[in-house]
Amino acid sequence: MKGCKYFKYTSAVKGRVAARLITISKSTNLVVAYCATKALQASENLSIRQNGLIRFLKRDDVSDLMVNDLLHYFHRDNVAYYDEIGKSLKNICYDESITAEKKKVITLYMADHNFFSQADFLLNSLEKREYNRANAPVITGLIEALGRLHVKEAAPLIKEYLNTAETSLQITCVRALGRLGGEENLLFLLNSILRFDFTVRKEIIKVLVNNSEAGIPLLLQFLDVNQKFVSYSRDQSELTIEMEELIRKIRSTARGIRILLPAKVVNSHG
Amino acid sequence: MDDWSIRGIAEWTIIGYFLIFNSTYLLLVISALVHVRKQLFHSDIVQSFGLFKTNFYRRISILVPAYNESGNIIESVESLLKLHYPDYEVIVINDGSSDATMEQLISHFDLQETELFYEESVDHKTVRAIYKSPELSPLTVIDKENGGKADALNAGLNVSDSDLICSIDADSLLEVDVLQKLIRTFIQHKDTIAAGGIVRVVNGCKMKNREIQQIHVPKSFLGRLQSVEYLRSFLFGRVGWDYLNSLLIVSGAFGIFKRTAVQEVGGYLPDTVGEDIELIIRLHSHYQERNTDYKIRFLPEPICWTEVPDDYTSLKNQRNRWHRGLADAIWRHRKMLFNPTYGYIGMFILPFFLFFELLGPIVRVGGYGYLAMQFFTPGALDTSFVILFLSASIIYGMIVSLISVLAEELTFKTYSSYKDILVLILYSFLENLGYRQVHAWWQLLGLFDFLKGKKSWGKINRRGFKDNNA
Repeated sequence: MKGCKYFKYTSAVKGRVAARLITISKSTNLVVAYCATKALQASENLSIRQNGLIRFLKRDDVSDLMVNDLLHYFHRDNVAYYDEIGKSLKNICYDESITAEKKKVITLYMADHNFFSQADFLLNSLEKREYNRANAPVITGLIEALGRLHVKEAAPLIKEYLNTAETSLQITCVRALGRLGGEENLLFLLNSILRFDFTVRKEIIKVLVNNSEAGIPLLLQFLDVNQKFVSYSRDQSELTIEMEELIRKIRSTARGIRILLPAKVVNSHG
Repeated sequence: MDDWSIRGIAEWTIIGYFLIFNSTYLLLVISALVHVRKQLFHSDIVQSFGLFKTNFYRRISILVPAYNESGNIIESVESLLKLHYPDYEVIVINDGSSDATMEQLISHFDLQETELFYEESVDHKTVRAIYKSPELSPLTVIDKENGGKADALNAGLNVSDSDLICSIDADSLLEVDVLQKLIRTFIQHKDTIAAGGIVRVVNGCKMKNREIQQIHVPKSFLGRLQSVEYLRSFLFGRVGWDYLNSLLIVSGAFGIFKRTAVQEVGGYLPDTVGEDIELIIRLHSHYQERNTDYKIRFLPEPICWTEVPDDYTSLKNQRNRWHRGLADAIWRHRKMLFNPTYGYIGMFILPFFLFFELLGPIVRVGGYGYLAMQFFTPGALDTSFVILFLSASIIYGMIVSLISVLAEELTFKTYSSYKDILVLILYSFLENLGYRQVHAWWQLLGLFDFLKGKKSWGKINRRGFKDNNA
């Protein structure tokens, strides 16, 4: 173990040392295998590093913390190998024996480290995947990654995923659409705001406030239109339960908008 | 001792109780020792370096309920604002303090009244106002009517929109990297819903600006006894329970929870004095009923420092309240006892807490009373019983305490001075010669007070961190 820790900091991982580390990295002991895989990432040979990483990721006892840590050692923030690293990460994602959870970590890593060259691959992956329990983590990761990489072509697909019943996925979609920006996406969010629970509605308002140029006028418009609607409804003698629920949601949303909008905007709007 | 008369059965029950109780703790300490070393080694190998270079960590809200904390609230909040973590907020909940807690917060942090958009998913007493500081965006202060600690935590729970909430006492002191260490378990084990960390005794430590400069054992007799107790029961005991995946207590002084999990079970229960243990049992109950995978962890690394009571009355009140809290939590969740629906928690752990922790003081006090009666009744002294009783209760207890102290030195090496270690070793013997007996008596009184329906917290005097300055 100490040897592995030593080689992690050297560039001497080649020949017999690399062969020995590869053997150790196949150990059934998770920590030993992890240590050896980390040491292998010090190798100058990209294929040794990639194979070591894939071998380790195929294990079923690996935590996200380990995956994240290894990805940093694999990448080393090396600008010179940017394309190769991007392709390697893509290849790892293609491997069927690697779980969706780990692929989620990899896709988020790609987004966080601005692998714009892999945007098409990420978009294709999202298009090909069918939403189910097993795929849910990687789909969440892909949507978040596409948002962070500003892949505007992903917007229609993300809007579709907003229809799923999973609140955490809905929030991811809202944030991704917010990052993509554009009046059309923001208008879509505002138009669908009343369909959602409190948490998602709050997230939509935050996204629109952050996209101040296009978002704030939309929010003010929402206040005007719905104020009239609520006043009109109040005049009606009998309201259905659905109608009462809708009015409650409108009031809550309008209150949220007034709170989250900058005070200057609210005051000038009246 | 060898007959099957009522007297014989009673004597064997007393001795059996002490043997099982001390053996369980010995087993917990030994398994904890193995577990802690493994965990520390694991943390050394798997670092969270990558976690903070990507957006993979989670946002944390620190909830600080404060009631009449004018003496140390400013220092406490200032130290919380200095923690090393990329995305966290501090929510102070002034629970209707009658002193100047709120005024001090407003003037020191230049707070301005604001409105927040949040949903009241759990009930609590009326919020009078919410304040934020224009300069310190992570700080939010809620001013609400008095409703107790649990009620204050519920108000904070509603306002928070972070993934995780960390509840601490206003007089607790967190190490600066505590959140970085705590978050690891939530990333490593995605089904973690709650985690507690080590709470250590701050009395006696040399401090400067609320930072610990030198770690020492407390100077007072009661403080030293509690240091040994914290090592045995609250450190290795809880790590041991964690190792067996059976943790029932995450200390109210320092615990971190998945926000949605706490909301799902309805938040903290205001009508109890043991809101920490009650919440954990409720979480177990909720997740076991739904047969959902979950983990409640105790982490040996993250460190919170707390001031323990130095005087007899405060300590008595604190332990009385803790025992009432335990009684209340077990009573509320009695349906879990011996119920296979709740797995090993219902079948073994809760019954252990019922018979050995909750009802244990009856046997302990009864045992010592019986021993005294034998000494003072002519011709009643049964030498074999006396030897067995003293071996099982006092000598065995000393061995467990001593092993806990040595285990601490072997794993954490907290105390750098030999004098401190020797003091702890000495007190691991002394603890069993009077303190544990008195402690059992306090617990027994706590049990009676619970039966009488007492709900008050009891007054606890604290010296504050300022007095500790080097």
